[in-house]
Amino acid sequence: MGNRDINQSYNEVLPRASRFVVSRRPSQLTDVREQLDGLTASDVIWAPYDSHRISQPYEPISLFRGFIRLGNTIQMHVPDCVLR
Amino acid sequence: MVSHGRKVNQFGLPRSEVFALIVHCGLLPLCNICYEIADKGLLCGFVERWHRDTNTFHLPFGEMSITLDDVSSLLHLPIVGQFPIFDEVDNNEARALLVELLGVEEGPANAELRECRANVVRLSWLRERYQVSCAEEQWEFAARAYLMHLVGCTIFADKSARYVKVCYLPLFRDLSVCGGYSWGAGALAHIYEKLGDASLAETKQLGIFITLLQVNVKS
Repeated sequence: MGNRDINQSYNEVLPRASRFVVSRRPSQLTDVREQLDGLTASDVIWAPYDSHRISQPYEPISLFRGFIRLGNTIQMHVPDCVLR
Repeated sequence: MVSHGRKVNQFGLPRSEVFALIVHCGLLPLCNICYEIADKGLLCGFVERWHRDTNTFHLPFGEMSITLDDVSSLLHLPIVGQFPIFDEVDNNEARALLVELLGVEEGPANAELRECRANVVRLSWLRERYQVSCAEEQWEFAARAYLMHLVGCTIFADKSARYVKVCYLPLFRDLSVCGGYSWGAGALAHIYEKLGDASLAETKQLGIFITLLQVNVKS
């Protein structure tokens, strides 16, 4: 989804965010709504980082269920409530 | 909707003397990964599906969210360690922090806080302070100014688009231990809150996270 390209010089040592280049053509909100409404579970890549573990290993703390905090901001982190 | 990506990219990496001080602070991956353009349509589409009670996106087949694993893999920020915790500051405390941790004189510190009319400083002012401290070879002051600018443009960006809260400054008091913070958890808490505000004031960082969802969804 979205207009974005793959950065051809990306390798898995870099943070995964640098794999993508955002296009100068913004998406249309109406298109995005349609795409989201049409999403099915089989459209989703559920384990996107498998090939990335060589540089950033999986941290079991990712499964932590509870409150995460920044200063006085406290928010619930519920990885088990979501499908991924 | 504002992207600070260009500011971060143009500011570039710090000088080697400063780099040596902050190489272990855990935040340097942010220097190279900022997107300069925000895809407004895409971000708005996802913000519409966000529910602040559950901190998840509601999609036709269930819920999805941004997790600590996403933050770790996409940004390479540490997700273990202490939560970044600090107190809000009042005007006097803000001035004292600028004097103590950035090496600013009382007069200019007051002038900046008055200019901003709150306990925040301008991103442009931090860039100036960085240059001044480098010229004076005050590397610790320069390092803190650099890091404040970096987090203000990325993980702790807000809709003001110009300012950073002074209350983040104590996190960088001891540069040798700030790598022990779970910056990833702090960044995620901040994103959850801003998504919850549904203020349409997404930052670049949010853009980065949203791109994760682009990744997850085959086009």
